[in-house]
Amino acid sequence: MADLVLADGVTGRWVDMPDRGLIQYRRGHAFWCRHVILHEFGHILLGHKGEPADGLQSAGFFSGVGKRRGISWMCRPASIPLEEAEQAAENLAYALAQRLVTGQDACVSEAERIFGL
Amino acid sequence: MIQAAFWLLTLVFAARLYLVARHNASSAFLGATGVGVVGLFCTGQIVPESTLDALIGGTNWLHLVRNLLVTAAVWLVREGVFTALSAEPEARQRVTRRPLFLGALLLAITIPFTLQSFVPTTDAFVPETVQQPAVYSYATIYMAILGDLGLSVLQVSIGPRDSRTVRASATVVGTGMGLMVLGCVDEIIYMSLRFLGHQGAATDVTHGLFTPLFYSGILLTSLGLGIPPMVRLWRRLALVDRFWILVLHCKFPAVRSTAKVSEARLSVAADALGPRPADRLYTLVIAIGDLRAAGRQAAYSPPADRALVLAQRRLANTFEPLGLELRKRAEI
Repeated sequence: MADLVLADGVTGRWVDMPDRGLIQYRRGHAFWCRHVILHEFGHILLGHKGEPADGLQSAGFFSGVGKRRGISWMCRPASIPLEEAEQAAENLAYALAQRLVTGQDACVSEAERIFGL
Repeated sequence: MIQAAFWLLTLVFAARLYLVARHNASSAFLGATGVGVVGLFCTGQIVPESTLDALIGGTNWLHLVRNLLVTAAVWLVREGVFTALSAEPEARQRVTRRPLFLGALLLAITIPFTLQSFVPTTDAFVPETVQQPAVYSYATIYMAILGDLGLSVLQVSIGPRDSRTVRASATVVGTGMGLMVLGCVDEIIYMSLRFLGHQGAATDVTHGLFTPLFYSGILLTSLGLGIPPMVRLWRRLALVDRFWILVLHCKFPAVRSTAKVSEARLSVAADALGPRPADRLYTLVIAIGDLRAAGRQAAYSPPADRALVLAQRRLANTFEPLGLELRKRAEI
């Protein structure tokens, strides 16, 4: 997504609309983008309700639809201290990443265990 | 070669003892390596055979003890390989996998040994006494049993596996068993020739081939059983992850400015030397991305960018296959 759509210092956001949810993220290197997506998944999994759409820090994408009823959003800021919900989503993102990137020990098959892995 | 096999197997036994104690690994492989170490110790390469034989009363009983130990070790290797790799659901119930069957095998080797006309302790027991039908039967039965056990391990261990480490370990073990089977066949031919009274080039060649074939097989089997502990150690050390942590800290010094200076110094050392380096590398990669998103680093220098790409590739080696695996399982 073009950087100008997201406010300065915002790396990604989840926008929850009545009929769908969107995860937008700033361009970056692959793992970082995945992490931003995991962070937004964290919000979804934790059941965060988000802020009303009126507070959306968007310059373009939602200018036409931002007043629709039921839209809420959450973002992942990069440069400010994280509030409680953001911190929880960030912690969950790291936990998910830990399972995906380095959690192979937990997925040891029976053959691997017998062989001593 | 026998000494090399002994010391390698001793090392593998120590590693496997640790794995069984700490990580619930297969006790069959631990038993196989332990019994194998004692068996190879009885070959006379570490302590002279005559000295050991004298300790248990003399007249070549050590020869029998060693062969029984080697048979038990190979049966245990077979037990471990079958438990881990055999695809047949009924394989666990097979008679050949019961300890009683091993007892019968050991008895089949022991009975003809006891029927021989005993000769004084010698380092060349079989070549000197193979003309005796009892000794010929004893040694032939031993080699046939060992060859058959080895062949069954070879059949199960060669083939595609989900785990690269298991495949490598099983392939090396299977190859070792294959060489051992060739050694057994060679020795049966040699003993048959000698039993029938032949003496000449054929007996010399077959006699000369036994040790390289049989003990290189034992050596390879030991090496194969040692592969998983080595891989485990390599993963635990995670030197590649630690290397990329250091490189990223050098290429992106600004990432340390997010913390206090004293803590930043600590974090470099802690990242490079601390536990779970893959997690730390991941955290570092994300912090570098955040740095750019926060506007503190507008663009990366080409070498820094290259280092970041390579560090991510390192993480992707574990990330991508697991992602594919998860998708595959989700589809099932």
